[in-house]
Amino acid sequence: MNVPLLEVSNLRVEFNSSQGHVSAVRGLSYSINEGESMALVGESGSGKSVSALALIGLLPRKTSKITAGSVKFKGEELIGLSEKGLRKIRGGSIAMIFQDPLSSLNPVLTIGAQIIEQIRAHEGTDKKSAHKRAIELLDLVGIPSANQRVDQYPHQLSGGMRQRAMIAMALSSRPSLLLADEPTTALDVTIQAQILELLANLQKELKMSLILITHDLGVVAGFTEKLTVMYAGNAVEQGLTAEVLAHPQHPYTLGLLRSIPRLDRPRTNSLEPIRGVAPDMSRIPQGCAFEPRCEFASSQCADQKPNLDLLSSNRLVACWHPQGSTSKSEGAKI
Amino acid sequence: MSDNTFLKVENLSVRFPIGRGLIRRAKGYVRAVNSVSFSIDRGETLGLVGESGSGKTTVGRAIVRVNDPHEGSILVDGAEVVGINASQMRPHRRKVQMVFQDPYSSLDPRQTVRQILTEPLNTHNLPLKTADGKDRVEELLSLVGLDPKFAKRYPHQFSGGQRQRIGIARALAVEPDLIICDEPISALDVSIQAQVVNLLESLKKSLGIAFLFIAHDLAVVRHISDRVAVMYLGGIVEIASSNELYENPKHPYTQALLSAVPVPDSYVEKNRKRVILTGDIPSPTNMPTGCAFHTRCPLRAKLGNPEICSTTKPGFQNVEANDGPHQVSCHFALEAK
Repeated sequence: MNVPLLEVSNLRVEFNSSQGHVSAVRGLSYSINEGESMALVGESGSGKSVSALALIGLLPRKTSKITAGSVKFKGEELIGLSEKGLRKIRGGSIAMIFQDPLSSLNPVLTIGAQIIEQIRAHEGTDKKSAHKRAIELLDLVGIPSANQRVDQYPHQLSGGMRQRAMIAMALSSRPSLLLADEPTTALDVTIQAQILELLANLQKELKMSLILITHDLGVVAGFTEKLTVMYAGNAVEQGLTAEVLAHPQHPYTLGLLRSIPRLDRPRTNSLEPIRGVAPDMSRIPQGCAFEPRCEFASSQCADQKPNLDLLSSNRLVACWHPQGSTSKSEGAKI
Repeated sequence: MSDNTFLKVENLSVRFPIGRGLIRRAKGYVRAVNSVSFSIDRGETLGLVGESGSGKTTVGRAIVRVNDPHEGSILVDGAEVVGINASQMRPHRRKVQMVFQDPYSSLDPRQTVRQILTEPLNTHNLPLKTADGKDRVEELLSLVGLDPKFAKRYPHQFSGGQRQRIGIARALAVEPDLIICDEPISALDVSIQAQVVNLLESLKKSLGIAFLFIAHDLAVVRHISDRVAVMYLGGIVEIASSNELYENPKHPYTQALLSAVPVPDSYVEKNRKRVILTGDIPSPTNMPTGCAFHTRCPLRAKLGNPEICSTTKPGFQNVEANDGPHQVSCHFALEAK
């Protein structure tokens, strides 16, 4: 097999707070190939956004630290890279879009100026051709009358249009990997459908890889090939999106899928929530982090932390008691 | 209308002035809600869905007179509350309570849970002990699934889901007939949302409270509601029983909205046909003429842009339904498939 585009192994991120060290990411590993799309799913505090920011050196320097792990992009190690080296990659071959397009755009510059700045930071193009390319990019992301919109300010655009402008900016450097952090969470559902369709088309057309960070399992389903489910700073389940959603193995994945009402299924009488709350990240249980909330937990779960192990040909699960139908699950653990 | 009707809203309109210049004279109006009518029976849950800016929150706030209606009538338990003053309003406030979206900003951080829950009791001169001598605050906490010992704590000592339970306990304190829940779970994590939804459902069953459940999450609304109203740009476009609306949507906007909701099943997602609406919601300061939805309507485009859509506002018509009355505001609802 050839080298994956991005390979994250055993990534650990810690924050210093007044309450002591908080481990936000605790040994996360995944890889993504060229042209592939993966979803990183988890609830707030699961470390999904922090792990993405860590890839491109966007973590706050004073309060956080990558304490272990490696991030290889096209074979090159990104952790420990100088600011100058990172700057070349960030917004270059790895681009990122964020949840809230209004606060990620500069309100006092036109969107054209912001795209031109991005183009000129990475390519030595002159202003005139950068301006022309900005219009082409706005056109590419489906902004009508792009040659007028290019001179407008963020407040003159709707939420959906602003997110399109953000995407145009991210695409300006022809990235091979796009990190999309909750790109549609702030948008209405009909606008969300527009933006997801746009991202899917662009990904195919431009042969980009895509990491979609979200808490919405519905958004993930039609849109990504692979899926990593995170809980308390760790991956608890990894596999092909369609398979994980159809046959979840980790009790947390199973619990999440059971707790949401679904429009594609008949109405049920009551929902099945996951009991309890997510753990305090400064005091994570020593065994499995999900153990206090897990209905299948045994004494082993409280004592020993399960590793993310291969369960079947393309499914990894960090659990002592995977919930799938496979009876040989115990034997499959390495 | 049955005798069982608790709330009856008729032709409700709310508008906000757009102030300009030094003296903030109104230069125009944001027409947030335009002649909306609906009713809620005792013990019934009505879901109100729509995208941001559709006016669903304003409807909820108008019922408790946080936003003053410009026109229309609101009957709470048979009594008109539009046009009455604050002291006349007070007895009605006991009947209708609110639960807000953000459990962080809707609780006073400097009050203990006991103070938070005692305030509505004092306001309405209600006893702090129950008939059998138990502490009312502790009773309220148990009712929402919290430990009565938590009464001494402050809001910051609770998680988001627990805070939302405190907000619900505060609404329950005055024994209301109707609780208006404005996006009560959208600030919570997915695994916690189901806990709060189940709590609301059990309260409905055990206490017979009616709910106006305002939310944008269509799957949750289907789950919790007996009937559902869909809003677009300040008006209700379709209203029917929950089963009927989701299985047999008639308005092209409802159809588009439902088709846009992603479901966690890759097979379903890859094979479904999506109605993707073009463009954005028009501004409520400059409403489209005729049907508010005509600028984005896929059905109108399919029918070759009939003139009536842009000239005449459609009224409500009853459509054939399998489960309860089904009303839709569209000239061509019967042609929708």
